[in-house]
Amino acid sequence: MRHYRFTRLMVVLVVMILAALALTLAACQQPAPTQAPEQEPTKAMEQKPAEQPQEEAPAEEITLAIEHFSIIEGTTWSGAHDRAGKRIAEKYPNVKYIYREEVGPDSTVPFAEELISEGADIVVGNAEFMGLPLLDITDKYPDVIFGSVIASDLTTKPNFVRFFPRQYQALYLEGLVAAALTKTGNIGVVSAFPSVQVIRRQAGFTLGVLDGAELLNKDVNIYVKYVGDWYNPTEEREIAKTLIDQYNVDVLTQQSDSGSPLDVATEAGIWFVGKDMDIVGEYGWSSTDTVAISFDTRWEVLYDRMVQAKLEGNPPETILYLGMESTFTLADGTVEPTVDIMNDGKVGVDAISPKAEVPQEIKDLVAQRREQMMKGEWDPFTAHAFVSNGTGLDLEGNPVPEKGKEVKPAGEEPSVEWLLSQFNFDLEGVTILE
Amino acid sequence: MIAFLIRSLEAAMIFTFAGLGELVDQRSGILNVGLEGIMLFGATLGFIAAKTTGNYLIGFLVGIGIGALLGLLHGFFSITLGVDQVVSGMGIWIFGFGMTTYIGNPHTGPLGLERLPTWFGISPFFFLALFMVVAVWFVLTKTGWGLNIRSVGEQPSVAEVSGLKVARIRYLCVIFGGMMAGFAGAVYGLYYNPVWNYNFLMGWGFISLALVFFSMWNPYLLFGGAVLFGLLWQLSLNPQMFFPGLASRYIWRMVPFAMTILVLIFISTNWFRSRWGAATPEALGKPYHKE
Repeated sequence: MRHYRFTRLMVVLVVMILAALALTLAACQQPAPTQAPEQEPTKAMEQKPAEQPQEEAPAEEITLAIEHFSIIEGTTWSGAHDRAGKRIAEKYPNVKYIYREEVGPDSTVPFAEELISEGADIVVGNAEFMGLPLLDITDKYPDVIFGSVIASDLTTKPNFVRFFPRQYQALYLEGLVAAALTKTGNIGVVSAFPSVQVIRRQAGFTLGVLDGAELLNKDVNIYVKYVGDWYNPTEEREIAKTLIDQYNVDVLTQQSDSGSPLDVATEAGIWFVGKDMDIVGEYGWSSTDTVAISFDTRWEVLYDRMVQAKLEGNPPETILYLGMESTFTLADGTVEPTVDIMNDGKVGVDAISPKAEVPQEIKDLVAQRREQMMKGEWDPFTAHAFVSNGTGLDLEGNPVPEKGKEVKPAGEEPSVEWLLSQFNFDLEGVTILE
Repeated sequence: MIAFLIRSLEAAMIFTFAGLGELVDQRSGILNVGLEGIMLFGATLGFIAAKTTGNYLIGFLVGIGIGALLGLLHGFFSITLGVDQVVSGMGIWIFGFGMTTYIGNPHTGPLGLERLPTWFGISPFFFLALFMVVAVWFVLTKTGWGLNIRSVGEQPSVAEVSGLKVARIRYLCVIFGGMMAGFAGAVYGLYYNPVWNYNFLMGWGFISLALVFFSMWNPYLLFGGAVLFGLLWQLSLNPQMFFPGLASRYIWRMVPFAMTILVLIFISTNWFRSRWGAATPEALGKPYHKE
């Protein structure tokens, strides 16, 4: 018995020594920041020269760090930001991409400082709530460029960049397609909550629907119902069902973040219009039987501006609001605009589901407007008047304009500042379901 | 209107499954506040199992199985080790939230299986929930098993000297409660909202837990509370259908929760309790050590 106990003790000791050895060896490794794995080849092949020479990379080594507010895998927002970081690192061998996931408001600064200690020269927060915490440490690290997506606050500093893509341009094109698809004349939007960003996005979609309906001589209603949050899968599902059951919606889209509205559209056999990312081509969440059109956001176009400023030693542009006219050339030579309609790996008119019955005149208009926007010759927000529907979001010193009031005439370009921080009303043609 | 009612009843059936298990659990004296965590596990592992095998039955069995295991874990902490049941339950919830986020991430997105059939839009699970309500009521009030369960939940020391094995009965109840919560999660993840996202239950486990207190530990009242909450919840999402223009959407969103609090206060009054003879299981939440 004593012998048995002794043997057992020895076995435990040996295991403990081996475990300690393994831990010591592991601790001796260089502390490695979370390093992005190799990027898969891109699927978007809109302009791919046969052998485009890669741009010569400047010698200085810099590190781009992204703070993702959520997990990356399987998300359209952080997933697109992560892909952007990888694409930048793939293109420039002297740019390293590191990141942190699930960064909350209270951990924005600690993680940012940790990333800086790991060598970050650019620190980007991909959620609106990260802006103000990052602003607090910009003076402490004058050599680091900070960046944050915009909610409505536009505070900047020489090393603090606010940025956003002009997604409304792609949403306008989606609206044209949605108008063509609806047979009941009812289009539903499962939306987060009234905010400048959401209102702006919905405005782009609305103008597209109205233009498409006018071209096809159709009466179309757009019903928007708010969930109250960007992410609430159960309530997004219920609201999607309500829009279909009660409002006879046969084309559904969302300005919220879960996959539930897409699933409801699939179940109901109606068309879905995607957002932020190519959910069919990138994630395979659905097929072109349900997703008629979607759009893709290439944050790398915006990140590239910050990277270039850092590499060249110049101060960055402090407000970046880029659209289809701005592009980034991937490592494989593919040229991609900041946003573009995209579905099942295809871009432009080809992104419209082959099963969707979209009249040629709409396809022609989509192609024409897309080309004009890529050349910077046309913009839906400049071309159209902004007439208030009387609903929206009261801002300090800027109440929602009364119904029917023309806030901006057609042909006048709204300022970047106004679009990003003051656009607070729904356009005529939208019904907000309270 | 019919669609509105069906959606309310389908939400109610999930609250009912989870609540019934917790009710039996609490009747035996064990409080499991980790219901949300067990439901998240049932929903996530059931979803992954069904998605990878293409078989719904396996998904549901996995959901029930993981629920049983977590019930057993809670039983080990609260019955064998005698730790604070709230602490153990909170631990299971936090474990469930973190672990399912980690495990489920690669499976984010739709289930991708043919939808389960319905009968005039109503899920067969709704009828199963009805059957379970009657069955649990019958077992608890009309059988020797029910008497034993209630005895160990009221006076475990008396039950023990009467020859009952308190620990064994409590273990069986807490495992049953876990199985029901795991099943409720699987019904949510495989039928109600078959699109995996992290934390996609968004508090339904806690609502089920509140409904058990609301029910005064009566299965029929639990079901009634679940239907009432389902209706109020749907109404809070769609007030424009019945009361257009009346109060903002933010006020409406509070209604189901405010109503639940008011009802809980009402049933907590001495007047109500003495009138209806309803009482919390005497030994609820108290660890029992055999003397």
